[in-house]
Amino acid sequence: MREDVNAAISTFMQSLSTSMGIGGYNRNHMIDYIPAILFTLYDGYYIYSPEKTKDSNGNTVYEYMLKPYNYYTVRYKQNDNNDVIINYTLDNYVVIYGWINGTYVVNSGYLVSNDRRSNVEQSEIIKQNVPYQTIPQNVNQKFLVGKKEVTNPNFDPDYMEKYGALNDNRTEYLYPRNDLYYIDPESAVKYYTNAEEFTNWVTTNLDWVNANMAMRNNKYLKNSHEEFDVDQKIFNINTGDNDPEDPTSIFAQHKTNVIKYSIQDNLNQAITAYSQGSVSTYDFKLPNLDLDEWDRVASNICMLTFMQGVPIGTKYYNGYSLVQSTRNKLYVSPDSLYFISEGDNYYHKIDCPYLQGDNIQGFSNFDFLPKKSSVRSDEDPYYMYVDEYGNPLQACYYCIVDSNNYESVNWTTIVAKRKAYYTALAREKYRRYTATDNLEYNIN
Amino acid sequence: MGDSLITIIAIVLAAILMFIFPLMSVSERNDDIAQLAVQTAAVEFVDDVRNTGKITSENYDKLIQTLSATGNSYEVELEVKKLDENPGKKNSQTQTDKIGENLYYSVFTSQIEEELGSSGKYLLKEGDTISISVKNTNRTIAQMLRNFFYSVSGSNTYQVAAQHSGVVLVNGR
Repeated sequence: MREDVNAAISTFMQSLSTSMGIGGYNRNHMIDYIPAILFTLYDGYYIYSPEKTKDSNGNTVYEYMLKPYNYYTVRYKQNDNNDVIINYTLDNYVVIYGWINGTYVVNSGYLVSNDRRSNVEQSEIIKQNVPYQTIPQNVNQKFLVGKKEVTNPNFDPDYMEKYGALNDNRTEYLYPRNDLYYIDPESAVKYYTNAEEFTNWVTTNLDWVNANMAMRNNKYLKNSHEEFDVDQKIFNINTGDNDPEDPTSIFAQHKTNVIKYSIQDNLNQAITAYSQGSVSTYDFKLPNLDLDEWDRVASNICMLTFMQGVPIGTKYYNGYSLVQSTRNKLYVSPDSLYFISEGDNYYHKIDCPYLQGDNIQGFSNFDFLPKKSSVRSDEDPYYMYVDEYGNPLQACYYCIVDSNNYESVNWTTIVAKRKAYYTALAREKYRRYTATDNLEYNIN
Repeated sequence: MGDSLITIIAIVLAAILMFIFPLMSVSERNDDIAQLAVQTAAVEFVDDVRNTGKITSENYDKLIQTLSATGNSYEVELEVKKLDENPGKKNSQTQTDKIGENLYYSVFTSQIEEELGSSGKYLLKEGDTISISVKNTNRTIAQMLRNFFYSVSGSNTYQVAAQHSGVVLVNGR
């Protein structure tokens, strides 16, 4: 991930200096005006900013570097026995570690209040188009993942027997995005099973967690930020006012505040530190972001850049820019799912009136982009979803390409759509990579 | 006789120097200020559309009002380029099966205004681009004075103009 972020910074600098190139600016000149760049990811964020270091002669210098990854973390302390640290993420996944009733505990999972197990597809068949060369035909066949040759570790011959047409070269019951090339047909059900177990555990063990117990660096946040000075039980999960999947719930609002102040405090520190070490007379400060912009930061993968202190006449330029990524494999937001229906050559949003039929499946919008398998570099891209003639499915012109004139239908009342939506969301979340997947579940 | 001719010329020259030049100078400054206001309004409008993903009639009316507050009449041209990600076949004879790049198709002012009139908003999506171009259609005082003196007129000359464009960042809803 660090390499990707570094590459993004490099591209940003390149295009910024190119677009300002006429003024004779070059990258090294330009960078003095950029006190920080922020990258928010699924469970934490990076800050790229100058840091005080010593050069080879022992002089103090400020050097730009990507600071260590910060998680969206906050600590809740009731007393010495109940003292936990919670990592939030952009969605309803949390990681918990710390002392509960005097026992050290590590646990992680999704929080849900609605058990939709009966509403989702119990066992899914997923058809995808994969390039012929990479189709593993049996359990021991070698195939390429990236540039590495591996044996398919999760290949289940029974599964292929049951659903697959092994002699069909074009479609395969495989999911080529994951390194494991395999998707559990019961993902959606398992998501809710695991989530329910975890939610039950959280509601019984963390019922004491209150918004006003939040602390960072051994200081209660309620003393410095009024949003935390409220009496709210964060993990009192219910379908009424605290559905973790609903962005207006107590949990989600609290989470947004945690993310916001974690980023704000660290960014403030980075920019102020830069200001002190900068040779420029300009006083670098973190600008105030709108509430709306913080909401975007706390609900998407974002890049936030600042540019300050550029002399323009007798004044200084001071600006920032926020862009978000809605199409990536780190995070699936409820808005980023596209749906296909059998016999239809277009893919749609869930509320499109042209999405019809009983056999609807949803996938992350990332999957509809053209892919290149790395077998050959000169080959044409392939698409994961194709029609009966092998042509790629196209984006619906009514809902995706041009969303104007668009009259959405209430999809929650249509059984097939509701099922497809919750199945897709649960499956995509179940498959999502999380760095804390392998933490030990530990209750004594 | 000769003296009075020179006197008349001197009076005319003095009148030009004392009244017309200051007037021209002031009217030019006036246009500069209008230019600044128009540029700012155009940038604000585009940035708002980029951040909200939609053109609303409130926004558009606000833009028109800010423009007319400068005392001139303007022609506003909007262009929205819609991103069509569907793979197009490149129509070249050698590589008919080669898949092409993203395409854009354009929607212009009259279509957008029609939509604003009927539903009050025009929705855009992430990846679309919006551009605006504003020109004055009346003749400002500075233009008139200049035309009177150096007569560099043409039907398409304009004095106050602004352009701005950008990529839409969010899906409008």
